[in-house]
This record gives sequence, C-alpha cells and structure tokens, in this order.
Amino acid sequence: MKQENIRNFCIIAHIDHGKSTLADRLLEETSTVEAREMKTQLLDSLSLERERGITIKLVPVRMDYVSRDGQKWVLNLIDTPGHVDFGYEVSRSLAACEGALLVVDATQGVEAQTVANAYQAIEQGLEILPVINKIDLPSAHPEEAKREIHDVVGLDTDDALLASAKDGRGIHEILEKIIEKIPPPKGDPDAPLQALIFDSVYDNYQGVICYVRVVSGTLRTGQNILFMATQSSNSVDEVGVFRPSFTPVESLGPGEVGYVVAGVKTLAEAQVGDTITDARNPAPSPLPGYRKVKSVVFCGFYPVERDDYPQLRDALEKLCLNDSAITFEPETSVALGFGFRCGFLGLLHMDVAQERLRREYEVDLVATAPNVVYEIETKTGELIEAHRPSDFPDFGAIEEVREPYIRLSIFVPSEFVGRVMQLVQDKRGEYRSMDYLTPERVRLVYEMPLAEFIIDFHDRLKSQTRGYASLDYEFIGLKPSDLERVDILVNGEAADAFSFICHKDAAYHRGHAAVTRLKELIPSQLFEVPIQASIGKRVIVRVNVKALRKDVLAKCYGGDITRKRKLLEKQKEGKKRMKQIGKVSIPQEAFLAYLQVENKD
Amino acid sequence: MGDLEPSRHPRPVSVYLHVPFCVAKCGYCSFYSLPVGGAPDKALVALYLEALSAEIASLRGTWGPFSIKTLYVGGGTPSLLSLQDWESLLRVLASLGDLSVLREATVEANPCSLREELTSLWRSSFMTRISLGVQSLDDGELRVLGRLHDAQTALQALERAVRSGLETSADLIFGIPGQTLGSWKRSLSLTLCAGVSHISAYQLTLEPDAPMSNRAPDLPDGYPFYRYAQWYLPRKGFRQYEISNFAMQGYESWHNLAYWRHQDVLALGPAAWGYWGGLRYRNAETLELYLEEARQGFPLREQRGERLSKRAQGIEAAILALRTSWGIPRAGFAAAWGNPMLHEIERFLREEVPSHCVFFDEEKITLTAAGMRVGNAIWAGLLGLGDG
Repeated sequence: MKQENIRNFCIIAHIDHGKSTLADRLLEETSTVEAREMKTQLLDSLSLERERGITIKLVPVRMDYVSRDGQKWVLNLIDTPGHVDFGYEVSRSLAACEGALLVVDATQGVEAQTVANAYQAIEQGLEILPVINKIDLPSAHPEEAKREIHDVVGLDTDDALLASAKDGRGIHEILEKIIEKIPPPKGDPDAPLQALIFDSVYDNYQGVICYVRVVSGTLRTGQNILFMATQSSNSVDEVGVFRPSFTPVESLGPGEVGYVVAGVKTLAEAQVGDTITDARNPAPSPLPGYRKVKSVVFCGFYPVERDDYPQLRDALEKLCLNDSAITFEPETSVALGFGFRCGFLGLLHMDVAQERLRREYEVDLVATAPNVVYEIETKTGELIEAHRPSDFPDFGAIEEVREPYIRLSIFVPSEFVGRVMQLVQDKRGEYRSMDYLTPERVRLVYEMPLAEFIIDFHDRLKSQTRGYASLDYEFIGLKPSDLERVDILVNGEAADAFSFICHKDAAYHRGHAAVTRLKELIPSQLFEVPIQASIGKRVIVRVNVKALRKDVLAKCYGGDITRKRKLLEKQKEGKKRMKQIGKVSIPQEAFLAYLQVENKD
Repeated sequence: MGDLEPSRHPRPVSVYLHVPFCVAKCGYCSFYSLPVGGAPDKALVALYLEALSAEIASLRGTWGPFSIKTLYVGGGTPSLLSLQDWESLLRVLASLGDLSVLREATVEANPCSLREELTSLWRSSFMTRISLGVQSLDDGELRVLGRLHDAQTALQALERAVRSGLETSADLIFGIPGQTLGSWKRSLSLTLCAGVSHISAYQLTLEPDAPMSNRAPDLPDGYPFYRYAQWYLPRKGFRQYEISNFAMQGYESWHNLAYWRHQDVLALGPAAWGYWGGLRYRNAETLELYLEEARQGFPLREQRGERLSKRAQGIEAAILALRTSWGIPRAGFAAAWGNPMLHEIERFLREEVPSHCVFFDEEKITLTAAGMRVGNAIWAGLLGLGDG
C-alpha cells in the first residue's frame, strides 16, 4: 500500500457520546466486518468494559476502503482511552495518528474531557474533524453542539459532519472526509526503523504483543529489534495487522499500524511509548514523548481470608501481565495481615483492577482507603516518598510535607455552579477561573489536592449536579501543605490500618468521625476500651467503647452446659477471623465496614 | 473421677428424670415435650413408665448399684400426670437404689396442674421440694410468653405449694417484651410474699427451636432487670448462690449444684441429659425413640455422649464452679485438675478480666455480682485457653 493512501486516525469522545457505536458503523461501512458477524460494539474487548458501558480502550483496527473516486485506501483506527486516569496512554495513541474525529453528542454538547483531549491532539499536530453524533434523537441540537465546539474548543465547525452512528447517517461522509482532510503519514522506508509502541497486551501463548505504528523504516519478520527505553533486544516472530483479528503480514512500512510478536515475556520490557528500532541498524534517537508511567493512587489489597494470600499474589501477578501500569509490593498490616500495596493511574484504574481480580481471578479482597504519594522533607534535609500513612516520620522530624495537586476543569449547567463551588471549597480547592461557555453552561477551573479528589469527589460532584457535570484534570505538581498523620489508638495501641493523612484543619473532624465509627463497630469487651485519634503524642479526640455490662447465660444445667460450650466454641472459631489489637478483638466485619466507609467519608 | 465398671458399693448419685408431657408448648420453650392438650393418654403414660422401669433396671445393671443423693423430676410438666400415674412413678423411682441418703427431691410443677392431691402425695413420699413455673405475675407478660395460667392462678398455686410443707422454689423470667422494672419488682416481691425459699431468675432467651423464635420479637436488654434482682433479693435474705439462682440460707438446690460441681447425674426419660464419670450423654430425643430403645435394652447410651479431654474437663469444671458463690475451691480444684491448671486459670482471671469482676482469697476464687453479670464473656475467655 502506498504511503499516500494510508490514513491513521483516532476518535475523541466523551463517555456515552457514541464512540464504540460509531467505530462499529465504520467497520460495517468498509466491510471490515460483515454486519451479521457484528456483535454490538465489537471492539470493546473487556467484558467489564462492556458491562459498565464505558470503554477504556478499543482494539485498533485496519479498514480497507474504496472511495467514491475508485481509489483504494487503508484506514487505521486507533483508540484513545476514554478516561482521565489514562492521560499518558491517550498521548501515545494520539502520537500514532495524523488526525482525529472529535465526536460530540448533539444532545449533550462538549464535555470537559473532550476539550482536554482535543487540545492534546491539536498540540500534537493532528487534524481534527468535528462530528456531531446522535442527530437521530428528537432532543438533538446539532447547531448548538456546533456552536459549542466553535466557542469552547475554538475549532472551525463550518465543515462539521452530522451523523447518527445508530441509523448510519453520515458514516460514508465521515470516511470521505477522513481521506480528504487527514494528511497521509510521512516517513522514509529506507531509514533506520522507528516504531512507536502505543499499546501492548499480554497473550498466554505468544507473550507480549506490541501494538505499533511504524514511523520510519520497515518492520519485518525475523528482524532483530531493540526496545530503546528498556534496551531489551529480541527477534521478531510475527508482524501483522488488525482486521480486526490478528492477521500476519510480511512487513510493516512507514505510516502502517500493526502488531509485533517478538518473544517478549513481560509488559515491562515493552512499555507504552517506547520506540522499537533495528538492533543492527539502530535509529540515532528514540521517538519523543516516552516516559515511565507512575502510579498516582495507592491502596492496600488484602485477602479476606488470610489463607488466600498466595491466590491474591498469583492473581496480581497475572493481572500485571495484562496491565503494566499496576505496581504492587508486599506489605503487612497489624490488622489485616499480609497483603500488597498497589499503585494505580487513578481511581477508575484501581476500581477496574479490583473488579477484575474479583471476577477473572475470583479473589475476595479488602481494599484499604486509597491515598496519594506525599513528598516529605525532613528537618535533616532528607526527602521521603510516603506511599502510606506509616511512611510518615514523627511529626517533629518533618520540615515540610508536599502533596500532589491537580488543575480541575468542571463543565456544569449554570444552575449548579453554587453547589459545585461549595463542594470544591470543602475539598480545599482554590478558585482559578470561571467562564460561561453558553448562557447555560459554565466552566470552572480550580486547583485542588489530588488526595481530596480521589476520596469521593467524582461521586459527590455527580450527585450534586444530577450527573450533568463533567470534569477533567491534569497534574500540576507538588505543593506544600499542612498535612498531618492521624493515628487511631485502640486501647492505647496504634491500629495501623486505621491511620490516615489529612489536612490539619480537617484532623479533628475526620478523627472524630473515625473514632465514632469505630465505637459503633467494636463490640463491647470485658474492659472499657478507649479509642483515640492522635497526632503524634497529642490525643485530639477520644471515645470509649463501654465495658460489657451484661452477658450471661441464665439457665445452665445438664445439656445446657454442652450446648453453650458448643456455641461459644463456634464463636471462638469465628474469633480466629478477628483481628487482635492488643487485648481487643475486632471482628473482621468491623474492619471491612470501617475501611469501606472510610473511602466515602 | 469414677469408672464405668459396676461396683459392689452403692455409688452416691444425682438423678434427673424427664417427664415429656405438657398441655401446650410455651413460646419460649426449647425442651422436649409432647403437647397433649388435656391429660396425657393413659396408655402412653403406661408405656412411658414401663420403659422408665426398664431403663432403671438397665442402669443398675451397668453402672449400679446407686445410692441417690438428689432427684429432680423435670419436664415437660410432671404435675400433668394423674395421681395414679404419680403413685406408679414414685414406685418406679424408688427402685433406683438406696434412698436413705436422699437429701433433696424436686418436682417441677405448672400452676394450672398443681393439685392438692399431688402435693399431699409428694409430701407423704420422699419428695422434698416443688419448683413452680410462675414465670411472671403480670397477666400481659404471661400472655406474651404463651403461658396458660394467669397471675391469680400462679399466686394460688404458690400458696398451695408453700402450704403443703414442701420447700418451694419459683421460676421467674425477665426480659419479656413489654416488661418494666416496676412489673419485675412486683413479680419478685409477690413471689417472696407467697413464702418461697428459692427463686430462679432466668432471662428470656429464644433458642432456634423455640416456637416463639419464628416471630422473634425484639427482646429488651436484660441488664436492668438482672441488676435489680441482684440488688433486691439479697436485701430480702435471698443470697445469689449461682448466676441465676437465689435462695435463703440452707435452701439452695443441691441437685443443681451437682451440675456445677461436675458430679455424676444419671439421666432418665427421653431427651434427658446425664453426666457419668466424665461422660456427658443424652438419652433418645423423643418419647417414640425412647420407647423403641427400651425394647432393645438401651444400647446407645454411651454413643450419644461426649467425653472431653482432661484439660477441657478441667476448664469446664472451673467455668461451672465460677457460676456459683462457692467459686473455685483452690485445694479441691488443684487436687482434681492439678496446680498448673489452677494457676493458668487464675492468671487469666487476674489479667484478662477486670478486677472488680473477680474476688480472690486464700481458699477460693469467686465471681463478684458484677462478674456474674458478664459470666458468658468470662466463660468464652476461659474456653479460649483452648485444648493445647
């Protein structure tokens, strides 16, 4: 295929704006997949994604297309993950394309994340084609959607296409426009090989399969290749294209999109954003934009049953084969036993991982409250990266604590502005700007600690705005903050699983909420049990679990003795599942209830 | 402890007999009994008495001979039997063995069926004591419990029992839905005024097999009622000699003490429990099965039993002893179970139980009134010392 007849593009769309359906129509229109083979939303590969109706990432696909003028074309559709957690993957997918369809729902208008992704595409030099989707709906306002794209994103919408992925309107026009507007890929087939890995997946039989876009040179079977970031070198077993099933080909030239199998065992060796080059004739430099993905949200995963620790470890190892962005290392908790501290790109990423462990690997687990990574400068000038509350040194040894901040854009109907502002302020957000996109819609920009965002911000924003708000965020770095570690002491003994980091001003409030909750959850014991929240040695709030005042078996003759003993022995069995903090036994259920509530509190 | 071989010398034992007939099941009852509506069928009672006779003969043959220390006839409703049946029953019981050392013989009675003819018969026999199922002297509470008598009937029965000259004990229940501290006080004081010498105060608990447990009403916290009884009864001369038992000096139930002191108790009748030389066993669960086993000569007695390890027996002995005001007698306990176990139990009680719950002196270890209130938690803790 001539390079001039290749078009590489992606689709930028907000969740629910019809990306998957549109992709399906394109496949049908180009006869890549016969209509009868078509499962609904064919390219959503994870069952979990289909179930939630959200697409994290579509499988790439190569379409053959004959245009009106009779020319043959190759169209490669590369997807961008539709969630803020995956910003880096988005940028790598965009880097593999020359153009993008900007899909906007004619009934909803532009959403925050769409703007962010569109800007990223523009920044990377992509040609943007606005598509107004869902024009079949009675509530569609295509003209308003167009105006929003013009006013909010700043794109020229004279050429915007009107389409309905549902009934097929406008699909043909989209294909013609892709050919007309999106530039062909450039690149010298004889130059040293440079192929961008925009995604990689793990296959049980073939090992790692890298999804690549060849930028220059040629990638062929048998070639010795070098992963430039990891310096791992392998021989190519197979190259191929997505139709959408894996279909081997001889070679991939500049501008082509396909996959490489090269005996790579772990995803860590073939990282997204890395450049593949020829080991014998390496390119002088890798393609720009590679960085190591860094976890931003951490939480502990513990097996519900202590004995299930090995199963959890195996499951995590397998999951990481499929998702290199997850990090994990063993940790122990006085309360929860052996488990793992896991790192994720964001909350959705964490949720998805937890859900996949449950479903695909059938592991029953407890997730502790998520937290971010803090940077601590000690009085001696040492820098500590704190991944969990226990990484915090003693209060007196801390010079400064810095926490990650995000810049948050929220698009919201103007009637909800007051509520959203209140919510963001409660979450330590700092106001930056507010502008009216239309008389009815407002964009609010705030800077806010990531830690506040990850607790329950999204849920609360949705409930405060009846689901009408959309948001996007980007990291803007670390800022000094008045943060303190609040310890929870049960009967004078620190319970590590219960401690948390929070802002000084919120310490009393959150400490009070935590001890009150625990007071409800910890059953009365023979002794009165004080539950305290403390900062360093200073107790800020205390409640008491009152001593048991009555627990007595009235009747105890003959058979009662055996009956009662058996009952107590059964309880004792249950007690093995209790967590012991000093003299106090806390039922597992109380732990779970506490940790789960803490997430939302 | 004893062995299972027959011996030539009469062994002093306690005996529990279960009479499995009642008029109707009470809502909270989880004991085995056949609700027979009115009077039980003559022929069925005859079969029961016949089987009982056979059981006594079989026991005498294997474990006997016995000399009987205490006897307890429980149910069901023993007072439901006719005078003639009672005469036969007493004859059958007399065949157990030597009654010359009999210290106490109690019969359970229901206020509805406690008749003058029965109290006279008992008075003239070897029976010494009536335990009357009063439960409450508040009509509303009695209805909640599903009892067939009202307060008036109960008071009359109490008077009849006391007048008969037999020692009289009353069972009272607290923690009944709707019960108030005031009504509890009234039940307690009316019962005392009737002249009883012993009161058992039980908290209403619903075992899964009790009829009321289906409708499971919300049960009130028993604490205030129990606490009040612990305060009130001693002021009226009734010492709390066990977690749920109060008595005037010298009127404690010796039969019940046998359970708490790990002494031998023979079981007679269907669904009765016994304890013999470290074996706790249960008789056939229903009258039907019991009659069937009687025909086969009671082959299964030991198989339905449970024999705890020496260590578990020792822990249980401590738990049961702590239920009583005599507590754990240091010397006796050490002799039976060894000094290390005594030390281990004492260490647990000193370290894991609040000091106001346990009283230690040179002779014994006892629970205080506060300790008795949390007896279960202490029991659970002692069980936690485990088998190992």
